[in-house]
Amino acid sequence: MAGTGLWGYGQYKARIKYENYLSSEYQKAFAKLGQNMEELNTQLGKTMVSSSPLVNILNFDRVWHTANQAHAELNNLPIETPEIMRTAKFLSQTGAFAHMLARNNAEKKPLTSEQRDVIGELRQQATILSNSLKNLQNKVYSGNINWHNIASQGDDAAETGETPIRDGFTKVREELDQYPTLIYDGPFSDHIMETAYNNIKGRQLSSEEAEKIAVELVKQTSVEPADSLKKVTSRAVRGKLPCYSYQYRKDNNVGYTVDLTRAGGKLVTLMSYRDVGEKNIDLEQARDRALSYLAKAGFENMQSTYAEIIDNIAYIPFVYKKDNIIYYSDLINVQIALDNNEILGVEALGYLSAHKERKLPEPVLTKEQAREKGAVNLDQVDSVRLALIPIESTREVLTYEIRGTNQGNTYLIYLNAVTGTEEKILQVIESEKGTFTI
Amino acid sequence: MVKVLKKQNIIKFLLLILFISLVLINSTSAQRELLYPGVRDNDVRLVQRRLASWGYYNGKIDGIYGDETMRAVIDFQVRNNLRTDGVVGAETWRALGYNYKRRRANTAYAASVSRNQEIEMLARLIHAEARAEPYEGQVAVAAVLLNRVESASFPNSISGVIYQPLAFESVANGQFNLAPNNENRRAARAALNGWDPTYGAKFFWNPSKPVNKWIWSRKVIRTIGDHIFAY
Repeated sequence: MAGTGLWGYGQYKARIKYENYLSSEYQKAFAKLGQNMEELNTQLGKTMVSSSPLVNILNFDRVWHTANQAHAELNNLPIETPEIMRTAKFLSQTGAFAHMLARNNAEKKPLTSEQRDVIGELRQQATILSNSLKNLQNKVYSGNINWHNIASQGDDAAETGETPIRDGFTKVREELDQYPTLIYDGPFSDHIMETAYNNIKGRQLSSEEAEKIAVELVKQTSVEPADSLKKVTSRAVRGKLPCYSYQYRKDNNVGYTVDLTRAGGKLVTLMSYRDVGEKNIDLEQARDRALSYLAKAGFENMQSTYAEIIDNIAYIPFVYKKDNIIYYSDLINVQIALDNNEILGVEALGYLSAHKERKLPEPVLTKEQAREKGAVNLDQVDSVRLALIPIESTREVLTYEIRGTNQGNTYLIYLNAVTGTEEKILQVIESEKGTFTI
Repeated sequence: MVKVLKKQNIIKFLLLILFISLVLINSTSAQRELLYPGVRDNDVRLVQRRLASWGYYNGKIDGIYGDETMRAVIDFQVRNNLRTDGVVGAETWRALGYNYKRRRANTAYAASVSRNQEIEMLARLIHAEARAEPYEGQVAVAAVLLNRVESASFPNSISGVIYQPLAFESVANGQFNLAPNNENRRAARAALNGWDPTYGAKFFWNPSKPVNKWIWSRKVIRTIGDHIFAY
């Protein structure tokens, strides 16, 4: 009896200790969030009055850093996502916007008056947030808020059933929603987050019309096209890209899911899972098979640059190629079983959302000039070709992709084909599972 | 840098880059070097040894990131003012005195190593949240997680999203620590390679289970198996 009692008391004490520990962790995150918000508020204010580019770089860099810190602390709090999503978004955007401005300053691009206005608005929002947090902090210090309750049962204050923390964030959300959306040339910009699939065009198909295409695409996944399919279900896909989704079982009992756009009936995704047996097919054969499958699905002029083999499945990305230019945004992934060359998966959403008629600038640099530029920092240049690559935001840049080696490492250097400036450098890490196919 | 991974095109491009095992030269992402509960690795031994010699850890030096190791890591993080998540990321590695970046830079398989860890974490989440779901439903759950990583409104790393408080019931109740199967892993790999049958969903739920009312305010995209997916 006494033993059980003692054990129970021990358990009780351990629980209290654990609860206290968790509460203090949450409290620490909350306190740091408050400090970061105050700091962010101050820093944003400073950027509004400074006109020295160097000071501005430092200030914007500080804003970026502080906003990221605050974002991390916010995400450590035990509050359900809908309440804090708006605040999190504000912090991500403020950070990314400031980062862009820091870089602009470094490139000697002065602040525009629009950008100044935006900073002013961000500052106002930071003030709202900062004040609200101070308010809540006072309640926490007066002992009315219990983090353990918030995390476990949804009441901030056990006795009264009130939820000041959540209410506080809800109020912040409502106030921040009054401000216009934030559009800039960088990650998290509102116009990017609202990706519309504008490039996907075509007549609206009925489900019956689309189904005919779907059946054919699933049959064709086998090297010898399947004779009959068993339909399992079909489902509607709403959202920003309306699709039809069908599920079938092939004669060999492998289940397939295939999604087609309602506009134009284009293949978006194909997925199936089965165990894959011994490898009978080499990469070359698999790639040819994938290419002919893509052509049947309406994707022409595709080229693979790389392949990876994992558990006897080849994962091959294909990119669009036209007039000897590689379009990296127009990307389709294909998954092929190397036991019998069956197509297991296709993912074409990237291609469909990016692919369009583009007006590309005439390269100013010649291929030879690009090679020479690349050769300055490389021991050896292996290849040079034109490639359109996506950079920050929605922009794409025409570049020369220069592949070469330096001290035994392989690098890809992307030189802007018009200005000659370096856009990106990538180091190629060779892995045992992957190989270049060109 | 992982932060650039935002726009659809860039994501696809970088996914391709990751896929072809390239590494951005100045990348210092914490995610690459991550150790977390469930990992068995020689690096775990390093951590255990260091924590033991500094008095944080009394358990076996066995290279298994179990509960005791996690407790020791949390203890270490608390006392050193690090972010307390029980996960050994770049910050914690540094605090432990290992220059992790340098150690990895010479490893030929850096990209595939990091990818394997990402796959393992995603596969665990799939196993915990959707093991009874059809394959496409499993890919979908992993895709939601990756959509969150890309979103401004959520943490910006896979571990951050998984361990966000109250985000996943299965992390809170320990289901997340169960070993995933091959199907879960392949679904995780598909999601990392760009397959997203949810078309950008950030939420999913099982309507037959008790859920918060607010979840119904999200805009529904589709159902797969027992799950509803929404923006």
